Amino acid sequence: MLEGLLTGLAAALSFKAIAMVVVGCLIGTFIGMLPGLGPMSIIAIMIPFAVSLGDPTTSLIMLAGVYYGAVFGGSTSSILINAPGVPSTVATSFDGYPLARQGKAGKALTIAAVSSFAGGTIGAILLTLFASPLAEFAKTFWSAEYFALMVAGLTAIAAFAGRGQVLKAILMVLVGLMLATVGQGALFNQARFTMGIADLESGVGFVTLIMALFALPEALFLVLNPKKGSQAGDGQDKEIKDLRITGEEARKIAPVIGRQSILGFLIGVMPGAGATIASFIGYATERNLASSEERAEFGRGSVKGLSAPETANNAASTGSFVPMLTLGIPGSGTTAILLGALIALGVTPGPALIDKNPEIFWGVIVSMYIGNVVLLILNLPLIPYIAKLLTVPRAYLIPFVLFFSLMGAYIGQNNATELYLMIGLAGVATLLRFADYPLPPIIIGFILGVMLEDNLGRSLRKFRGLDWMWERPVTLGLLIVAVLFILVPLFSDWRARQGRAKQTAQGD
Amino acid sequence: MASRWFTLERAIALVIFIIALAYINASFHIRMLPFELRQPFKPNTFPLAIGIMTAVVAFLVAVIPPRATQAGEEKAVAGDAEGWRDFDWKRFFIFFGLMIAYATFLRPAGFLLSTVSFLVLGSLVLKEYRLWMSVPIIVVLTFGLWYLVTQILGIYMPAMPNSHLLGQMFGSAATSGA
Repeated sequence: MLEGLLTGLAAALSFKAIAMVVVGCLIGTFIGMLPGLGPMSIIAIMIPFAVSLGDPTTSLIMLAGVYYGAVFGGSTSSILINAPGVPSTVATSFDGYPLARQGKAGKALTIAAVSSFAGGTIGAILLTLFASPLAEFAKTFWSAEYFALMVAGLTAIAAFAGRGQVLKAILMVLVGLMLATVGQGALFNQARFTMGIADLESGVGFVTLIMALFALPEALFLVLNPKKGSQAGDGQDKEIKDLRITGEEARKIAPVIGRQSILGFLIGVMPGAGATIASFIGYATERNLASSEERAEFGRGSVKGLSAPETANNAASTGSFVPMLTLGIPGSGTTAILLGALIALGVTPGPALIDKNPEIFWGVIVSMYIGNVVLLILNLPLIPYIAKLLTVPRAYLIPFVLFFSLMGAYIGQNNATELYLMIGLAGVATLLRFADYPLPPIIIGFILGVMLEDNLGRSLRKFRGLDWMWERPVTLGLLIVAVLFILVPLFSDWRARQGRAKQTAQGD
Repeated sequence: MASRWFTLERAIALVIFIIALAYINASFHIRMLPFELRQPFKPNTFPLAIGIMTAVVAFLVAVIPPRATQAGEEKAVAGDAEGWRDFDWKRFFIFFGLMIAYATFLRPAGFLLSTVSFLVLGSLVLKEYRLWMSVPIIVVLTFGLWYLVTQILGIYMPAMPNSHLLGQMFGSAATSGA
């Protein structure tokens, strides 16, 4: 591990890498603050640029910087104008915005920044400790275990999708898998499902898909619903001053940070449960643990209520890197996009990554420490100025976001068909969002599709038949877990329905 | 209750169900090489499996009775469809049209002309009428981006209109129209 850390330090401490972390964090914070643009949209927009850097380590370090920056930027807009750009900062606005309304915006931002820093850094320490043993263990895996692991990962995404959403999330995963089979893959000679369109032979572009699913609908929603994200403009003009927190407040939030860093990290490690769930659970836990006196403050500007989700969502963001770096399995939409970027850069993700590309593996981990420091020392003093960005007129913002998305897909594939495909998919994605279908499962299915088919194929060829599914203990265990991931939430959902049906029958 | 049963959610599930059937059908028609036919794992093994699963799940989503939402069950984030009747659909479709036009004209009309037009028209739709302000900003930013993409990142992106492609486009439109 020590040797690995040194490799990582060497990779992440080069001038270029540090410059890229700084650039990434700044861009992430800037864009992440704009209402409606979350980490996924921003990373999507930045991928063509990152890929053009050529060196996978630097690219991934930059994208990771964008990610932390975007998470932090999202908190800023939640606190200042009550406009959480992404679900993971919704809980931040519960107490952050009331604090800003009381004229304590500076204090709220500092608490958010310190909590994020602590959550991110403690998360990074845990990642350092656990990543390499897990990767070592995963090296004993064969294609059969991989197949089972991916199935378990995909079903976990459905399991954490929320009440009544399980089947819809599974359906979206399957749609992603179907999209992954379009075109000429590495596995077979023939192109599949191209419907005779020559430009589809190379498959659906990864950048095209993420832009269509995340960046374009976000911008189009701002067109559709001008009110979204612009409510409560009253916080905008106020001067932000007094960033200090008192000793008493520090004592209050210290235990919160300790608990939520660990809890958030553990939630983040689980595939499917990401920063959003961590932030809500973190908020709820701290509310329950608080004394009744403190509990009354929650929702009215409690420092604990602000610190909890901020710590948890950053720790979880870091935790979600564990399955991605060690197993090559994305646990969240964001890490799925990062994984796709790795593949686009010609790096094969998986447990072998730590041996084959230690500079990437450890470089990313070390860059997390740097990223967190950069966010704290660079962004905190800059916040009052960055916040001015919230006043960029939408008449410029929206066309530029659309333009960047179109450009991103065009640069990748260089044909107009790709752009039509993207615009069409964006229309579909908008419709899906209207019907409350979760979109991240599509991208996770899409990324895992090729690997899933590859590992299934290897297992079937190697063992001639399906016996490996129950003859190999780890495989069997993982598949049982996968089945449980689907059945348990479905069953509890069904129970809830039954209970309610009875209630209404008795009530009438 | 009955009128609320056929929701957008179900309609989409139904469409996915039909797509899945078409996908299964297409899986049977993937052309295979003779040796592939004897393999335990064929190019259509995986597609058939996920196609069938998709069809089953989509069918379930389409037919399972709706969940009655509990009074105490609050959603943390308001649904995207909330208040859709008041949405600005006209602008939404104008933007869709603009994007399609941009995709079509990007190569024939060149990067600079098509991008500036796209951004200026887009800002006009969003009620930025101060052209004396918006046009210079957009032109400078567009040129800066073009410089960054082509000169620094080294990506091929013709800036100027391509008379050959334009002629092809309008020539073929004229002949097919005639």
